[in-house]
Amino acid sequence: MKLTVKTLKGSHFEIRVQPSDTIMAVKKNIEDVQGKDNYPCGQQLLIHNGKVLKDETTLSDNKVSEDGFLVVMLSKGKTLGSAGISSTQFASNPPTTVSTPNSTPLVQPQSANNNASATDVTTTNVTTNTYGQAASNLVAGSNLEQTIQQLMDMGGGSWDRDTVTCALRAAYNNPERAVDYLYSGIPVAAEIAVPAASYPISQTTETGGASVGAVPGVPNSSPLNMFPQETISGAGAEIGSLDFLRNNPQFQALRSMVQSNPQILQPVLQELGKQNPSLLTLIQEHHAEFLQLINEPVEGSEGDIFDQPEQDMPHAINVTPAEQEAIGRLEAMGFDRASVIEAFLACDHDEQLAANYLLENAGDFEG
Amino acid sequence: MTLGLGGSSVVVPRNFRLLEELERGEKGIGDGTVSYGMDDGDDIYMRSWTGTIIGPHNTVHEGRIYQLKLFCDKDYPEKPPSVRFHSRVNMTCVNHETGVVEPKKFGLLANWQREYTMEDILTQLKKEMAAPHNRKLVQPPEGTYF
Repeated sequence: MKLTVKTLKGSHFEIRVQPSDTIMAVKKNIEDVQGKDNYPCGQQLLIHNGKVLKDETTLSDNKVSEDGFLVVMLSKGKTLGSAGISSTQFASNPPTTVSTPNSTPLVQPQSANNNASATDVTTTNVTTNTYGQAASNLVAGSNLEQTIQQLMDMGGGSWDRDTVTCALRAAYNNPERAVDYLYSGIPVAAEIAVPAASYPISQTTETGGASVGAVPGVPNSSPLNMFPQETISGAGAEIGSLDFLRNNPQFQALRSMVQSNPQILQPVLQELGKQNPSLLTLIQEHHAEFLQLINEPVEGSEGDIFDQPEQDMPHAINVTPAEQEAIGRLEAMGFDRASVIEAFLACDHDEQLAANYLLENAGDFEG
Repeated sequence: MTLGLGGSSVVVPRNFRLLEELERGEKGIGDGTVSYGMDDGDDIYMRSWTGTIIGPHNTVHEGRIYQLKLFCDKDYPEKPPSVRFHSRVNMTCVNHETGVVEPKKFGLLANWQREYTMEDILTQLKKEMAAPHNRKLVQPPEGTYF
């Protein structure tokens, strides 16, 4: 049978299918017809009569009939699989001790009699802290070097070392998210420095408990724990409200990042689940309150293009003579021209709706 | 069918009206960014419907699919259907706990007229997503449901 497939670009095309075909088979069919670059089957979503069709069901299960139509859209997520690298490469747990490359020693421990020369190159084993155990897919040390190389190979030469390093830094050393950034662009918000946590993560060396600083030039060698466990052990958490987050500097930094790039919220929450499961549980229990908190305006924040005043974006609107008359009639009701035009456009050129709108909001328009 | 005064207006009975809407839904609406259909083809009263809205461009909703449930009771279209988001969404007119579109906060339902259709509801909700007070609101993670 013949099916019409609509795209969100406004075009449509036809495919030949059988009622017994699975949705997955239909997606492959679309991929063949339209090309793998345009409609990779892994990213397709098919919609019919208000339902998103599941891969394992058939066309007849979904009552898709002869000469019916489907809507195809592409999901945003770019899978690692399609880039020719298995995501399991990144998912394996790092060893419990992380060796740093010889060229960049983290610490040069002094021997007991203090006669070690400053030029001694020492490989230091850093014992993992609770953060390291939780964030199993974050990389550091020699793993980091290896990951940078892997990502560069994956790009086939199109990504240079700096770009990859920058993406990793923006992704807080999460390779899977870094790949996402490399494909879709590194969000500007992710490059903003986040204030240091008020509970620094101390990493103890085997030799003498010296605190390890971040290595310059290496992205997030000691990644930042945005919400350390201690921050929710206060009374606020016990009450079961999220109010204690409002004045938390890490949360404020997160809020400004999320407001300038809302897409970052989901990965941040996933990371939070690894770092601090109890806080994530609390957020899930108070979902509405969390959304309210995160949408509160940030002090001193600048608006973006959506918030710019009308005069910054001049535009002319053409109206037909009939619409001109309608605007005239609405003006005759006693409203000023600017308000009438605003209401008329807001109501999609529907005179009746615009009249209702103007009457309902009469108080707002009176100067 | 009942004729109005002087034979000028015709009040289409509920079932005929819903059959019209069903047919229109099956033919496809506009650019495909909103669509709807019956939940259960065997329900002779045609009460439960499913809708989808594809988030509008240049908003936080872009590239997301929102699934909704619409319920047309026996007094439809005199009274509006009840509308509930199945996919989690953060909008001013949607109850954060239940996903129900609150009629008082959504003009089309608040000022319902019998000529309005489920297509109008979905189209208006899509416009609402692009309204200044909704287009930038941080959204729950994709793929989560009420």
